Amino acid sequence: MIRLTQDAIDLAPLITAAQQPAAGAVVAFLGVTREFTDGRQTVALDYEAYGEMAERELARLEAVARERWPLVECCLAHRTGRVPLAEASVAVVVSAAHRAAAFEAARWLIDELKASVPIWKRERWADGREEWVHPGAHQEATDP
Amino acid sequence: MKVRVLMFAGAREAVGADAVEVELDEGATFARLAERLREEHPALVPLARAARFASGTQYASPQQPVDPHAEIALIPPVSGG
Repeated sequence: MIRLTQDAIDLAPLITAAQQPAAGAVVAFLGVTREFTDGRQTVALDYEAYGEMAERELARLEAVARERWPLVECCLAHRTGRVPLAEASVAVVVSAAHRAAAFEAARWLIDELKASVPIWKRERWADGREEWVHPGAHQEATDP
Repeated sequence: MKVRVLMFAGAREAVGADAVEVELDEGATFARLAERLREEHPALVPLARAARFASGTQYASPQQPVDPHAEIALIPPVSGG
């Protein structure tokens, strides 16, 4: 089950979907907008998605996870637009008969989601600066 | 051939547009498209080296030939989650 939404992520229905008689273990992960990073203060994050491709990538990750682990349910939800402090931008909820698979799959899913799904965040810092977050890109072409 | 490339996030900010068009030889690869984008839009240079491309909403490899009829997007380094 995958979802891109502009609304606040509602975890309850994802957990309800994951809680099934076959699943002895339900694991939920939330990625949350954090206030401090290397001493700098964030006031909010704005997320943008390449919608059609993001949905396709999320669906692909669910399919790969289901092949690798015996999952009962697998829910991936990502929010777009402004995500204020302490609110969730992403939820990964998986269930399986036993907890080893549920924990491993959840970890793999969030790591892969962060590496491949075409979604980008824009930092709004407390000092007024704003910048798109692009890991590994050079800051300036003129840097030595 | 004329190739339209969708721009997102920092790339859109760098070029000031949702999409750009570049001229590309028939049969050129995505690696060549990256070069052409850097030539036409130097503001993309910081992002282009770490960026990937998508064709028809699937990641494309650098050696893949560009299909100008597919929806092509520059995918700068992602930062979801």
